[in-house]
Amino acid sequence: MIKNYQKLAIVGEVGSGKTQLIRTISDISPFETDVQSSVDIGKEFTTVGIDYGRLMLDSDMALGLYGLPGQKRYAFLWDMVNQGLWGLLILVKHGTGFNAEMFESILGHFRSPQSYTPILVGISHCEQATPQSLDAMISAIEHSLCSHAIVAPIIPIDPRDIESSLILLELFDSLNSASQEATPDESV
Amino acid sequence: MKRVGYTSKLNIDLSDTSYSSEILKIVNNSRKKNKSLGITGVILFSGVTIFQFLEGNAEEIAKLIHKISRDPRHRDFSIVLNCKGDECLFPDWSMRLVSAGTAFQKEVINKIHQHCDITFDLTSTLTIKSPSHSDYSKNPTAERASPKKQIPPKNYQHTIKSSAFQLKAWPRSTQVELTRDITRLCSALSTGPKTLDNLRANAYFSNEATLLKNITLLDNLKLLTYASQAIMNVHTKPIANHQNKDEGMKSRFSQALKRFVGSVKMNA
Repeated sequence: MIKNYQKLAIVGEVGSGKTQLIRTISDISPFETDVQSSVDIGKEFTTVGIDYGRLMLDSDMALGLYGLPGQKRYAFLWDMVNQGLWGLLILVKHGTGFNAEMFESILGHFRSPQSYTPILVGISHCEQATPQSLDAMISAIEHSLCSHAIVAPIIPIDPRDIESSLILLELFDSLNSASQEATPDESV
Repeated sequence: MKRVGYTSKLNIDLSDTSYSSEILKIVNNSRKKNKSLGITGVILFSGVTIFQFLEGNAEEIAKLIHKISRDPRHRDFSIVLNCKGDECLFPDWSMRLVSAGTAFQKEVINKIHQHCDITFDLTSTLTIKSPSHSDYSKNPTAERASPKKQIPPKNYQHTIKSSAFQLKAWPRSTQVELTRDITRLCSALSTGPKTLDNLRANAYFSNEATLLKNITLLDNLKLLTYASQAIMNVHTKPIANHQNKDEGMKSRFSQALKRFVGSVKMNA
């Protein structure tokens, strides 16, 4: 029986790698909710529901992985996991332009002065990125974070890669440990 | 109602004849912006040094402070006051300019003193000379000839030992490698101001030399903002009993995760 269960929400635009990331770090096959997409993103299916995966850490301890679409019209899905999150990973795709409106609607929804959820921004599809293009994208993301008074790590990730996934988990662990000693709503 | 005060220096040339109009431009812009955000307060100028007192919605003030701290027109930004109050001290002023060395300035400072329960010496923070009497105006190039980066290491260490500092943004992957020490340090500094003693107490480093090296690295990347140690008084709140259980669970979870990650890496 699982007594210690934490939740990680993975939110991002279509094709950003949410499903793949859950597959990579989950020890069970995620229950896939792929259905025919009305958006042509170059692949046949895209996620319009919640992807779910689970990483068992001990016999009574697990991390639940929830992949959620980034479009604001699916905010009702965000609310289903928004309570007591261990972390929020926002996945953005390199090379297609940064969707600041979507990004900021996610930030505004998940982060409030009353709740302190550790946030991490992962940039996927960086294989063809140059340092300059990556820097430009990070600048745009930092600007959005700054407008919400959020300081969060922004790192390139490969959702297919186990090591890259472990780095994410270690970062969230570090942010959680630090947040236990902090007073988030007093920070300026 | 949140109350925040900061000091900074403006990157304005005092010898420039447009100095006054630049100051007025800043005050007018902040007046318009503050009015739309429901923020009130005062701004005290003396030469390039300013003290701004803001009061209003905590979230709006946090956003505004974050923007100002990264505004290239400001340098040596430092939060010197951070508290809460029941009512506005200056409800009619979306941003009132207060001249240095006047009786009115004294009145404003006294009012802030009386209502803000915080233990720092506000008067010493505001020992601001008027431009005509400042050393700066006697030698306008002196300060520009000694940029922040040229502070000798001894003084620098004195600064970090006597200040609280926090992270403005995480270092980029194109700037530094996120080692375990850097990650832990940045995590700690991204949740609010910390003093060197806080960091030592929570073992956010492998050794003292690495800690100082990493703080210097972050500062050289202009990722740190400094604040008076006094604000630590309002950044520390006791943990409520009902939170202890959650934090115990999170702590056990963290240990299990570390073991898991370690074992995966060993088997890889």
